[in-house]
Amino acid sequence: MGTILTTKSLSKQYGKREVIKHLNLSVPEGSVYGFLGPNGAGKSTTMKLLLGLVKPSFGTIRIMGKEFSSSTRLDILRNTGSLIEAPSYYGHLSGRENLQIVCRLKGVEESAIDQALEVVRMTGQQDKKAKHYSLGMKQRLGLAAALLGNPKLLLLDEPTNGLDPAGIQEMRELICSLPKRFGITILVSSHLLGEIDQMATHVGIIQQGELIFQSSLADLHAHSRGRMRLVTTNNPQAYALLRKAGMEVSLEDGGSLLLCSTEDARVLRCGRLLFENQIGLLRLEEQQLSLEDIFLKLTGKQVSL
Amino acid sequence: MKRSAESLKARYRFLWAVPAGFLAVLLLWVGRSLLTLEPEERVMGYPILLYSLTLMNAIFIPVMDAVIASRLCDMEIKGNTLKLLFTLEKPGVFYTVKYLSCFRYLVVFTAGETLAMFLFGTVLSFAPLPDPAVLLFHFLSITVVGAVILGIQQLLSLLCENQILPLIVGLGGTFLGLFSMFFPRRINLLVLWGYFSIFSQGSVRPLGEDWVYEYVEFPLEQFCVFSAAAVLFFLLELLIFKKKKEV
Repeated sequence: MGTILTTKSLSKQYGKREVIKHLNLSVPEGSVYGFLGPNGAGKSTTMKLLLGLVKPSFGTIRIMGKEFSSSTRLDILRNTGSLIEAPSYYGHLSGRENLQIVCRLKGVEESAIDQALEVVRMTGQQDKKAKHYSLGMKQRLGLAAALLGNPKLLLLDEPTNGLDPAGIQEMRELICSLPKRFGITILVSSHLLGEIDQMATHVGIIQQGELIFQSSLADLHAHSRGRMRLVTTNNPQAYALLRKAGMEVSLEDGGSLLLCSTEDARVLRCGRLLFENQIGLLRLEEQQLSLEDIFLKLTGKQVSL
Repeated sequence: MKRSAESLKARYRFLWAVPAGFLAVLLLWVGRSLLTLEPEERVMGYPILLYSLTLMNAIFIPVMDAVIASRLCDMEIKGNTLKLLFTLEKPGVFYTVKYLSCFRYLVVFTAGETLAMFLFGTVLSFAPLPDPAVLLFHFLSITVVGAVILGIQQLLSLLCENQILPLIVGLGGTFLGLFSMFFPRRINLLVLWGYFSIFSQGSVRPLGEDWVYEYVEFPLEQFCVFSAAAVLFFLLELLIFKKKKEV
């Protein structure tokens, strides 16, 4: 799988404040890349940098094999759709007329509107004035505008923000269907881990402007390997014993030990060692690290669910 | 394509009604006073018209510019469309196309006013113009001064979330321009909104108990300098807009 978007040391500074720090993004073609991070981490700024709405202080961006610059920007963006922050629309015009404007600016035939409306399931509401749309419909109209001209890449910045649960579900389904139906690569940002978990195939986690994790969602899940929690009659002695035996173990504040493995052989060996050294085993339980725990571990911040 | 997108955006905004409405009020106002002229006063018909219109334009054009710019720019602010548009076109192109879109409504007004002058003169049998270029210079001067004011109004309308501020500037400009006309020329020259009188080809002076209206030579050189400055001013506005919107 090739990459459709890469950034190299992408940085943005406002005065002395560095909001994006040497970001090296790599978005595989055909993926749904979840760009995850707490509020204020730099997701929207990154999105704006990728669309050329903000100039980088340092670093480079390559989209579809082309170096992003002021001269190539619009050429590249012709094959890119975007939905940034709040939905954009002309309230006094109908949904269809809004899309006509985008068609004229993109140089796309207006016949493409019908398909875009069908994809976002808005055919029935196309003649209604956009100001009378619900937020979910406005977002879907924005998505339809982004889809005009058959883009290869979609950049969606928090597309479910402010939507009700039904709207969130609908938007999620729409996003997930696009790579399969049209082969579009999607870069979607969110501060909601659960949302990314349900949509993305790849994940990048940003924290205070720094990319702290980037890989497939499966890799992120692999981080959630289990641990064994042990409580013994003498935890400090048990800790020293297990460490001496070369086991990866930690002594927790709450008076327990954490064995960083759930492998049967290791657990068995651990039990034998304790028994041979006359240390009583009071409790033994398996602990699974959730995605939230991983996120917390990586970012040190409580994640929204 | 970009112009036609701009036209589509203006649909249902009834923008043609703005210059048409302002022009109608202006003509009714001026027409009413012209109808009261005695036959011997009609000799001075054109200078009277040129002088009256100078004052009227100082009142009408800044307010009309503010309304037009606000109507056309507010939709971008309210609809949060600038970010989307800047992924489809260069901000400079957007700004220029938007300006041209506003400008055509100004031209409707200024051309309409010039045509109405000619019609008033013909219907009310004014003494012929010494030179038909008077009408051309009148049209050019009010269009260029109006265009510079329009540029300021558009910049403000695109940068302000609330359209009240640009409208206040438009109204304030009207008063400032009008008052500056009653000050010495040096002060008048400092106020952009007062430039309608700088390029006016009609003036009035007392003669005994009467007032005499007469032609004033059009300051062509000054007008050329002003026009060149207007272009530079537009480029400066463009630069400010691009800087503020950071693209």
